[in-house]
Amino acid sequence: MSQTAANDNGAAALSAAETAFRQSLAGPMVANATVSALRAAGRAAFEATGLPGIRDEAWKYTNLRALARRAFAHGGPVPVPDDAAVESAAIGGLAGPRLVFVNGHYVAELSDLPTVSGLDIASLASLIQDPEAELPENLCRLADPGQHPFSALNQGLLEHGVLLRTHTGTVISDPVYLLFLSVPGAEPQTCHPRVFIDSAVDSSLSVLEHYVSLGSSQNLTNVVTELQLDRGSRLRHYRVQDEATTAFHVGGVFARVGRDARLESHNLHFGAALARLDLEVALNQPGAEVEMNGLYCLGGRQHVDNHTRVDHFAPHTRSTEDYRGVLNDRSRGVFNGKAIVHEDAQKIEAHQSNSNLLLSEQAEVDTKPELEIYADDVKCSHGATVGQLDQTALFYLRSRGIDAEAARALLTFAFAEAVVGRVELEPVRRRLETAVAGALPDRSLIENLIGADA
Amino acid sequence: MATHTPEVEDFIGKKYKHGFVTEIDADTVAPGLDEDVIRFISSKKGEPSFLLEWRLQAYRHWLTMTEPKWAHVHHQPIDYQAISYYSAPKSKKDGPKSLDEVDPKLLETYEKLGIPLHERAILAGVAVDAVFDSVSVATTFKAKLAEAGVIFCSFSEAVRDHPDLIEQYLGTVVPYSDNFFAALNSAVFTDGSFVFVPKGVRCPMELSTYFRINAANTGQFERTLIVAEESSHVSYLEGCTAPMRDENQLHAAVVELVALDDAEIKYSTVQNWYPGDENGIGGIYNFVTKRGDCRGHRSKISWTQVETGSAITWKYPSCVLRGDHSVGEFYSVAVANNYQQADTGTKMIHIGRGTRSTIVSKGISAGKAQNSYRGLVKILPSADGARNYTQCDSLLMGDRCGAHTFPYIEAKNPTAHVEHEATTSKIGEDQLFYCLQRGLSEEDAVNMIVNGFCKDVFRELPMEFAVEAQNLLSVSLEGAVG
Amino acid sequence: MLSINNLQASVGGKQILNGLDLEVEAGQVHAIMGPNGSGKSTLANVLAGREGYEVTGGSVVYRDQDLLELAPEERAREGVFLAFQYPVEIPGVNNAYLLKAALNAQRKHRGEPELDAFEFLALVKDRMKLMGMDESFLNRGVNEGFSGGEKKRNEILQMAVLEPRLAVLDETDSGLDIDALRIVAGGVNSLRSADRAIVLVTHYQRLLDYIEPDFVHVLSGGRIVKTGDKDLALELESRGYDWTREAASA
Repeated sequence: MSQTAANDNGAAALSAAETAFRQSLAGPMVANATVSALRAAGRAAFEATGLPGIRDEAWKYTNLRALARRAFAHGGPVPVPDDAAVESAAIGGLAGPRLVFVNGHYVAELSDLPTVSGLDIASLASLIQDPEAELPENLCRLADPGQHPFSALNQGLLEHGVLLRTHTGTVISDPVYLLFLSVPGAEPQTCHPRVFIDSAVDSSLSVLEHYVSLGSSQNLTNVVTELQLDRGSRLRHYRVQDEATTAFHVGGVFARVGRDARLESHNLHFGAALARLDLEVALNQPGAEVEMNGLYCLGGRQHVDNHTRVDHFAPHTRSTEDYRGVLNDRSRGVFNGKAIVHEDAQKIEAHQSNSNLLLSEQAEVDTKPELEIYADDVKCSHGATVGQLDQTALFYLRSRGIDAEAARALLTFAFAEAVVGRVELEPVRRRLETAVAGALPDRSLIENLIGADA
Repeated sequence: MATHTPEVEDFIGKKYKHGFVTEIDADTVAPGLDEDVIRFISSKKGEPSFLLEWRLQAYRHWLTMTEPKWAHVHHQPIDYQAISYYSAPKSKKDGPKSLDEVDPKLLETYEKLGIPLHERAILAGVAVDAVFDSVSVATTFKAKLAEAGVIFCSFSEAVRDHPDLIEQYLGTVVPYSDNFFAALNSAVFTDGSFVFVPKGVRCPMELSTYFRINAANTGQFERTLIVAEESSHVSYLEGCTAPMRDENQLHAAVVELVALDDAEIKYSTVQNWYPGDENGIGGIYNFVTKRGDCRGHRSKISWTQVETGSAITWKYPSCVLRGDHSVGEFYSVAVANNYQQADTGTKMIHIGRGTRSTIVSKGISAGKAQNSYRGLVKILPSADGARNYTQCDSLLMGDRCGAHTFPYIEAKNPTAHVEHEATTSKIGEDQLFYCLQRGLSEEDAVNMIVNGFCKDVFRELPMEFAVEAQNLLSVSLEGAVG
Repeated sequence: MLSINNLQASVGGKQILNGLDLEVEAGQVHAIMGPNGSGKSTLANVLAGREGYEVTGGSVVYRDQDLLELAPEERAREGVFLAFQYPVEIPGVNNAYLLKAALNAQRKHRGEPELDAFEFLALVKDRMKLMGMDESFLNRGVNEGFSGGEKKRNEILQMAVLEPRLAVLDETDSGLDIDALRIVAGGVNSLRSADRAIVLVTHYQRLLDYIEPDFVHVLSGGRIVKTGDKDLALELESRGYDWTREAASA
């Protein structure tokens, strides 16, 4: 029965995708031949699988019925929000370039692009119209459309997005801020932006992807990010998903990490009715390293599904992961973390942890930390916990005069802060702390504390 | 690390100790499966009509199912029509009445296996219900058990003598529709064990069954049912060996446990079925469904298993914690060597309030083996205050083996507390060196460390089994580290 | 200030306190001594209102209020402070957050203005000097990764900042080396005042070498079986606890 449902889902989404194609084809033709080929491959891959159903192990706990039922318009007119709305949604106080996308489209008027030495920034939409434009060799190659239907869909509709490339040996101190605004239109919109970041040899860069809605958007954002880290490079990748709780968000982050390179991935979810993120990291060369931090802080009937996968392909590679969930009301958190140590990938370390706080009777969490190990000289561990707040700690705080509700809020905040505190960009951290506090009952206490920088 | 030392060669060349074939005429039905075969089995065993009906329902359901593919194992497709579904020793169609009637060759087989059947059984204080292929041939200690009111007999006898109990409990824990192999078993099972411990009785001795697969190309489909009434207690031991055969043999058993209020069932298994040779040829396919139902309040079911045999093991002894404050436990050591594949673990389903479960799984992989832990801890909304603790460790010996962990946790109650921890590492070089420096041989050092690694599980085993398990392990892992 | 009458309490269904009486006035220091399992920690936890400690009889009156009616945080705001025998580690909540929140919760309760970050820091740093503590500790998680001695010192620091009316110190001396003991005792002594009462719960007389009590009580079988002055503690040290039980039953 579920099989049939899955197929139905696939068919519905497929027809929506078809519609989208026709619409996009009605627009200007793509001048760049590489892009045409990529699109065709993406489209073929999506048509081969359709939307996944809950019979697919990777989608066991996330049913796409609600999404497949809806019709999304693709490529409609782009509403231009006013400056005030943009500024209130944006995280202020960040130095460095800011690129603003509205429903996936790059909007130059809202963006701020100072010249940054050692960094190339290009809008994908303009490149694809240039027959001569050279696209990154690995564009659409780090995300496997055969494995990820949504990535295939994104690739089939490849048009908008951004390419970032650092120059060899440059340290770029100011972060690049990619602000993706989801703006409701006459009907729900869908967009499929793609981000490609090429960290050159020995370079260092921080990038923030920030997804936020203006108003109660019911749009579907389906974004794919590809990260290529060359030898000795360092990339801090922050991803903050704070869309409206009526929105749909699907994302994929696919990274390839080279020799002695280090990726820091911060992935924080506060928004969306239904969100799914696949984070896949390939540690391809000795010395490659990844640190993965994640937080999902949910309420209402939100459903957020994080799937992470680390492939240790080379010896002397290292991965650490700390994902935490705070689940209120009737929300549901799904975590699936997989670490795979391939043959001959000796002397590696892989540590993974997923902790969850269930704060309400109807909240639910499904977690599955997995290890697949085909080498022997390894140090691997994983752990998962589900529970409520530590009762002893709660009593301790109360015995110091803090009321029960505030003590609970404080402990919950501290639980999330373990992840949030690792965000090095001060304004982003503040924004996240406020977001965490906002989800808690005694907000004033926490805000007071955040302000009290003792 | 990639090159094998002489010890590793030794180890890999280790022959299966229990590989010998007993020459006995067997009354074997031609390979193949249809409703007639099921009717044949049922009539051969003189079963009541409800059981035949149940078998046929199971068979019809099985026809609609497909073999599961999700386990982390690989094998050639099984031809279910090439298997013979009934094999009984020919000379004693009606079953022996006492040990004297048993074919001496059979007894000799048991001797070789070291089963304490005769006086040794008495000395060891163990009652043995030995299953030779499909028919139970000897049961000891019946009188003493009967005195206590405990029923311990072959499944066939139970069908004959206690049909009401069979009808009441059969399939209530593992319905025939549960999974592909359970459906197959329900259709064609030939024998097994039955235990019934009445209210308030503490079973006066450990109960033990040794299973053994003998005839070539016969599948073995045991069915075990243990019922512990209110406030009763029973400890059940199951040992499994099979002779060396070149072709894979299917073993699809079903074990059902029922514990009523305040009852406790302890179920221990040592499985060293033929694992296949060093090239991965032959060996048992061990696809088993084991489940315990903590039906009563404060009941407890504890599974302990030491799995060293079989080419492929697919087995998840589980507990349904239905009664309030009931307790489920799973302690497992799984060793996979050469081309063995093990996909084993447990499911703990928390339904009742204050239910607790503990999972301790130790996996050891060597050679080119793949060893997976797969578990599910499910906390339903009704399970207020439920607790689970899972510890899942893997030890790797050799750089061509694999160790995998797939734990599923589904929590729907905020007062529950679930904790899962897992580690994977190779045998500690510093520990090994420390032992060598103190003058131990490498083999002894490895034994010591591995036994230490498994200690938490071994101490759950009844004494007789603990010793056997340790010996089994040291034989299996001689020279596995170079 | 504190009047305990015929207090009975149980933990996990087991009766621990069996009719305990105790009167404590402002300005006094009381030492409660007794062998393991006599109910010392139970008394401390009952006074602070810990869950799982069930009062089955008797009364506790604190400053004309029924103490047992109050939630743990209300007791704290009324000036009851418990220094824990095993201070809990709370990763992620830093010491400064906790202290400031606790202090301001009390001040608010008393109708006093809350301290701003600047005033608060000044106060805490002053108290930390008293306890010989490094300022870096303020930004660490509550008791996170602290040694046993650091945890106990942190308890007394909290006491020094919160300035309770009634302080109950549960085995504060356990696990301390002699230097740490001196510092902790010095902290407690500096907090002795005419309007503050201190109850020391301890197994050993050692702490009383540094904090001189006005009264020493021997707790046994969930009741106070003997009361005396500081010399009683010395006698206990040399003779052990058994004779007090005999004396009580005689």
